[in-house]
Amino acid sequence: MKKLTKRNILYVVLPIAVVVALIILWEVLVNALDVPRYILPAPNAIWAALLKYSDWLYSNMLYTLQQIMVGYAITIAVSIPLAVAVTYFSILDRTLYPIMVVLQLIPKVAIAPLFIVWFGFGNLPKVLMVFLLSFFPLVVNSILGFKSINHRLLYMARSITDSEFRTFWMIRLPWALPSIFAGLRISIAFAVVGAVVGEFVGSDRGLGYLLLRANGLMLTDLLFACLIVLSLLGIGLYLMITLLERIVMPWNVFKKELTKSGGAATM
Amino acid sequence: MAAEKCVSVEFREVGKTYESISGKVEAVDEVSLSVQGGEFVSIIGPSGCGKSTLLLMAAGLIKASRGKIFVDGNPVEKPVRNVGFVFQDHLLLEWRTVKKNLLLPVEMGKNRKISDERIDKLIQMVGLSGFENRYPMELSGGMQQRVALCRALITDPNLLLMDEPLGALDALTRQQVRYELEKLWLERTCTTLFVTHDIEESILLADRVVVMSERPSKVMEVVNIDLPRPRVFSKGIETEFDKYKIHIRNIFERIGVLGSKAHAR
Repeated sequence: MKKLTKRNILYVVLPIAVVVALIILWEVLVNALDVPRYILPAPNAIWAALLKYSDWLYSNMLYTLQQIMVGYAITIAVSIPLAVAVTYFSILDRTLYPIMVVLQLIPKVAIAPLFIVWFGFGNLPKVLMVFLLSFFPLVVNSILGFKSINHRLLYMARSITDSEFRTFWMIRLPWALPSIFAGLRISIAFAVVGAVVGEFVGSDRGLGYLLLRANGLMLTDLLFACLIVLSLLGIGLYLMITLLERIVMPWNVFKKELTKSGGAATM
Repeated sequence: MAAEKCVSVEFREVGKTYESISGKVEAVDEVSLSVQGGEFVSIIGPSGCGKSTLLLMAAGLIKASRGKIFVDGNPVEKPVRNVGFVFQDHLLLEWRTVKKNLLLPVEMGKNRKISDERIDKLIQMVGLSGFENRYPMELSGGMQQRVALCRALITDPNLLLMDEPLGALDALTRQQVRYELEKLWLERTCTTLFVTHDIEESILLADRVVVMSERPSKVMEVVNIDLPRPRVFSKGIETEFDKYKIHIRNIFERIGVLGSKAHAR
């Protein structure tokens, strides 16, 4: 268990202090050097913009969040069953898996304009962009997780039961969970990128749209405000995945703590 | 004692050839061996001689390339039920507590009922009381292997298959777990195949020791061990014990696994 030692407090306080110091330095330098607002607004100007445009930022944030959630849900619904299929059917493993690995190398962002041609300016191209960017990390990590199973464990399972379902549910799936969650964490970051790119290419709503708009109007303070909201959105989603991970895999949290503290016993 | 439940195992001219992309590997040349119900048989041989393969074939988990295996008089064609497995790595599920790990064969096998008493008794016998709700990663290596041992025994198996169960432990822990193993085995005798590459270990627990050659392996000799049980704390058997040790060592020297011939290669 974590203790509030002097060192732990220092580890929390120190990074915050550094960030605060940097913001103050920024404020001072911008004012001292008289940097034009449209190039680099001072922190207090950005803060003012955050408050001034808060309604606008909020409604656009909701739209972007919606695209992310829908796209990410599709990612989960497709990736995990696909990973299971690849694990069980070696024919898929030999055909589909290499194709996916190669496809992963294509710069997917470059496909965004094509989506506009195909699917217009509605929600679909954005959702697809979210899916496309977040799909690969999740599916590849899940497959690696399922494949890393200890085969002697499967021998043991087969000597106990014929039920492939129980073997999957009690052994294969929990075994793969740490990898699946690693994939989920990478994927959520990509999902945010996907939504912004989707909105960049063709949208009249969302934080990506607002970013471009602020850029066009030379409202650099609003642009920074968008960036902050977008970052907070990304961090919030990431933390939600981490929270879910703690709920689903309490033993894993425990394991991490053990390894961190030097560990009483080794695995 | 439920000795009547114990099954016999018979290997009849069994051979195994693994086929891979890089070619064929003859693991087991020809093994014929008859293990009676309730017998503890150690299988000892140099590494890679197909000892583990023999166990997996006996459990019906991999198919023999040649020959036939009978468990309880029935030819083995699919996984044999009610077999207890212990491997070198404990194979405990890290997401399950000690107690839940013990219950895995029960939950997965579904049809068996195990009383809490039995679980408690097993846990107590191997000195794990108070650790029921800990995760495996919180235990020492010896404790982990003890849990693995209990897990294999929880369903009262008719056949216990152990593949170097003490191999990953340090010398002192090894002695301790070996003692627990003998205690558990004496409490409820069941047919046991025990694979090891440690001569002392093979003698200490066994009724018979099967000495195997290098790959492709054959049975070189079957040594009857006529020592009183329990053996761990028995004083005065040292000379007899050493006699068996030297005997087995001599076999390995004769076939070139140990000694000057082995060094020359």
